[in-house]
Amino acid sequence: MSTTETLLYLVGVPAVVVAVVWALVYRGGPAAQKRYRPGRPYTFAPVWYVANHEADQGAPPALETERRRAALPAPDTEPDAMRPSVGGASDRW
Amino acid sequence: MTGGERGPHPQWPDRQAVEGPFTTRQLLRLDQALRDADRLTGLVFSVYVGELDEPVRQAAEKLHAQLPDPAISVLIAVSPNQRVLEIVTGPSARLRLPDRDCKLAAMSMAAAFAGGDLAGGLVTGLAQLTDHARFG
Repeated sequence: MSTTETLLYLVGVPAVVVAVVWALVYRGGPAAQKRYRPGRPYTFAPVWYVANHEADQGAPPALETERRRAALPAPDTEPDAMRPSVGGASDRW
Repeated sequence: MTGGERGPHPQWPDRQAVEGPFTTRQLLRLDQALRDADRLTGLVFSVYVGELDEPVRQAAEKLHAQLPDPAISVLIAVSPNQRVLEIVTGPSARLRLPDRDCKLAAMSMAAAFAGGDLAGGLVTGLAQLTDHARFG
């Protein structure tokens, strides 16, 4: 085995192995590209999701839900000053 | 399943949703969590993921006001770039979901988001809000 061949085996083969592993790690799959990583730019268009109730139509009627819906307080007719405002919470990460 | 300027309209599947930040599996989990939340509480939950104009709180409240029935609606607005999360509850929803309970859910969601898990954070946050609204 000549010097050139020896070098090819000792340098070329490890280089190919390293390149393959590097490609597998950094190329990623479709799921990896969709992944959000804190600190990296998030480039997706804004999305707004609500429940898809059409999918519930095949489900048995939710008697419980109807009862709870009816149990919600009636629309208040108090003056605006007495009306409770929106609430909620905020957080950062 | 996504909504725009005119307010959310239930549609599924939706091209924009498929191209969004979530995989199909994550979208299905999120859809199930939203439907369970609505069904079990009688409130209307929605999730917004995207930029929020400054001031963030007012932007989230403006989005909430665009929902069909803001009084019983709960909006979870998440802006991954600004790393901020807002929960907005309507006046009637607030009676069932006090701000303290919202804050607890917000904290656990923020913890998941800090680890890069947007979908998981939203699903657990929705589950927590549902439990609080159901059992107080």
